[in-house]
Amino acid sequence: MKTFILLTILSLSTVSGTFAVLTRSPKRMVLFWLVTGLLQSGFFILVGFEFLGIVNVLFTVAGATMLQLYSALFGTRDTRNAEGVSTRRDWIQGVGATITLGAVLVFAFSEIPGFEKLGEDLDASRFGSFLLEKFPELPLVLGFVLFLSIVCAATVGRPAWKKVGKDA
Amino acid sequence: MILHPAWALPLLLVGWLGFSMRKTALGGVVAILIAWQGLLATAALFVFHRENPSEGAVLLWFMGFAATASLLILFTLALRQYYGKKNMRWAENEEIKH
Repeated sequence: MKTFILLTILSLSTVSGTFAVLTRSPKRMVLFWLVTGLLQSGFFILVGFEFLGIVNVLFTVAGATMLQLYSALFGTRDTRNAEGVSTRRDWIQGVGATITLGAVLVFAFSEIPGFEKLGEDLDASRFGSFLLEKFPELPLVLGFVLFLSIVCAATVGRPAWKKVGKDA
Repeated sequence: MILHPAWALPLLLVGWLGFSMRKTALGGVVAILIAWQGLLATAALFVFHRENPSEGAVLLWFMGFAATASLLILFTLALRQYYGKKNMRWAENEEIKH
């Protein structure tokens, strides 16, 4: 059952990621990035990396804030107009590059000894305490990032998004 | 529980597809971030099965590296997008000629 849930989460995050990279609106890009990042955080938590999952939530929020800031500073109309044009050449280039990378990865993984047995003895229960032991300042750093993210989202993020489709 | 690391690869490929097709700094960085999530998930599944959890600390450094790299990529792509529209020929550009 847990494996089924994990695969469902991975599938949903892949679908959400696909929407994020194919949509043309900056608002939807950031929203789908948030969904993808949060689903991945859920995945990390479920597989036993609770600490990494929490760090990833903050990373996702900080990433969305960074994108919001950029969008607010440099406008959304140019981005929307530029991303709205997809030629056949773009598709050939994108799909070709993806197939090439996929083939390289499949080949590389097939060369790893015992790859087919990976994932059979999963145990990461001590991961969080180990990270805190090695990097005790981490909660402080993460707290600062979260604070900055909230401040940025509350001030400059939303007004920029509201301009999409109007006089941006 | 059996979960093969290959299941985390589609997200990496989707990010790469986006990075190959996007035209703006914002789109490029979103694609990089999504590819990064796939890479992190793959790395987590690789590290996670090992008996020594100390190897899991590598993931945190991965995260720190990703944050720095994303910011740098955003700046680089933004500059590329900005200067891509400019005429950089010295003799023809009125802004930089004098």
